[in-house]
Amino acid sequence: MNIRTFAAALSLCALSVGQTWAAQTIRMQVDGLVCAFCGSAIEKKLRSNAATDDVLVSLEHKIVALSLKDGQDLADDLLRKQITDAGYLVKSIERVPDTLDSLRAGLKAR
Amino acid sequence: MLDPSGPPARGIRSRTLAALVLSALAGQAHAGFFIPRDITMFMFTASPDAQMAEVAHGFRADLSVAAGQSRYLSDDESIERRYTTLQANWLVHRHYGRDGIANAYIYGGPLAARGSAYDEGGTDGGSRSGVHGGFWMDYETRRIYTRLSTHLYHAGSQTQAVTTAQALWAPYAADYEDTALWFGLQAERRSTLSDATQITPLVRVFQRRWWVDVGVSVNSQHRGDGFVNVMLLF
Repeated sequence: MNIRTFAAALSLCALSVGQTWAAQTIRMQVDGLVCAFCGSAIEKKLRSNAATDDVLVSLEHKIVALSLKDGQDLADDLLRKQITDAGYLVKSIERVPDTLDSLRAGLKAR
Repeated sequence: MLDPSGPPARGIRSRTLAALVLSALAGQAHAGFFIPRDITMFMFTASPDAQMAEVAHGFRADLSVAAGQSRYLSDDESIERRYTTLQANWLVHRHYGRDGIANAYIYGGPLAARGSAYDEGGTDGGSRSGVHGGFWMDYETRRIYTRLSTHLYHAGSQTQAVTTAQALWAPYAADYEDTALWFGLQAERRSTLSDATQITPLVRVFQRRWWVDVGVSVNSQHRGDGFVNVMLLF
């Protein structure tokens, strides 16, 4: 493999990894969310993760979502534990293509 | 029926003001019991005849520990009881319903009691050691809140029970970013200190990290007594 081929392969690889590591949003359906005062513990917990960029809580839709910093991720088990420790039940966790802002706008429009 | 010989308006204002000033110094558990893990809550409650302050920290999802000071005065002001308390709060059960949650807690721990009620026969300047504890049940949705709790204090030969019921309604379902506004009624009995059930209409306002209840009692013995409860989360 000459140096040009190697550089091209490296670029493709970086591009591919870059796409995999692009900022993503995790959306969770959470039971028990009735009051912002109690629910604020969830936000505090999730923001304590270095990988967390921003957090969205919707009492109306029983949704907690967070955006991740570039190249970062959080394990489902950790998220489930943090929300359980805050006193709530996680019904589902999914990675979605939306940004947190678009998710926020979508929830408001509902 | 309201007592027509209640205090004049000026007296009402001064007693309400006194309660607000006292609230800066004291407090207890008149609202919000659940302390999530790794969260610390500071709370104070005050009315002319009861002031309480408490700091609580959540160590597990279902267990928090609190340290507090409280002071109770009888209706005729002849009996004063001051308690320094340490307590564990255990969330026995939480039911997750479709629109709300129901909680059942028990709590208790040691206390040191002081005040005129313990001046005779006490040790260490009238101090007595004892125990305290009780239960708390509540049900809440985004528009309705109900609660029933009892707190027993026992030191020396004296036992005091504080039983509280609350029912509140929110005119709108506040979301996470909003300021929540609630209206309701609190009924409280303090055995061995008052023969009356203290009825207090109250307004509750809270956001993510702070919570305030304000009310004024309407029953004859306590008419015009201000009530304030403040909680802060850290």
